[in-house]
Amino acid sequence: MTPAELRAALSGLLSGVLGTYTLPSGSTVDAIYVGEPPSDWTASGLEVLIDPLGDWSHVPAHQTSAYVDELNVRLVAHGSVSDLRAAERKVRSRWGVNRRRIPADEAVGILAQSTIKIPA
Amino acid sequence: MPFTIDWRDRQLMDALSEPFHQANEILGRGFQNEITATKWDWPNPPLKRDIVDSGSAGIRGSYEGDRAGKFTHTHGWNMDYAMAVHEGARYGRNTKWGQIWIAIHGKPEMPGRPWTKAPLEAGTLEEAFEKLAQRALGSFS
Repeated sequence: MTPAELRAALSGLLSGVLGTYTLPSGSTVDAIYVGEPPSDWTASGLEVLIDPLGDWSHVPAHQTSAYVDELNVRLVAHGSVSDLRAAERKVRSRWGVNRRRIPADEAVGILAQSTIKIPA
Repeated sequence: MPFTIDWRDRQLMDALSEPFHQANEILGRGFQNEITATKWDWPNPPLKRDIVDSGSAGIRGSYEGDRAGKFTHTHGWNMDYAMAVHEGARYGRNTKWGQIWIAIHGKPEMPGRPWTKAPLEAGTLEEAFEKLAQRALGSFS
């Protein structure tokens, strides 16, 4: 699965909870992007960022091991975390993968977010 | 001629609990060594550093390894920002640190420093457990 294919899959899966990017023109698009969105786009609600580079994990086991290709996804809450939680559950249901939560910290500006590795 | 085989499975499993925890303690030392290793990329010199002082000086000191059950061992770093440092973190674009990270590498995101990844992927736990378990079972009677 390529990052673009994952973007398409997540766009459909998360259609009810995705936030929006507001462009300088005032128009809006779904807040899901492969790579880094343009700096003049403003995110609101749930933002989904897909790392375009991809990665892999090496999984050791007894007397053997496996390499698993993965795509790294970051779910970021610009506002309420309820859509973030709903997205985590949808992704878990679809791919059976867990998430790592980074709690928000208003003092330093960290947004509530999760990282997920989806098998490619 | 009927005969009975006593697998002694409970005793067998009991004998493996200590090797399991010892192997996890070796893994825990591997995690801690990653934190102090001068291997992490930085955008300004020195370009390779440890992560002991990356705005989170207490990461190494906050480690808690716990024999939580016969075959349950937990590894944790009980401090603020530990997960943010491990996974990287997205900041609000208009926050102070968001602007700093944008100036450094073009996006309001601190890169992750996954100090657990290398020891896990190297099979540290599996190799240690195999050796320790063989030793324990060798003396099993």
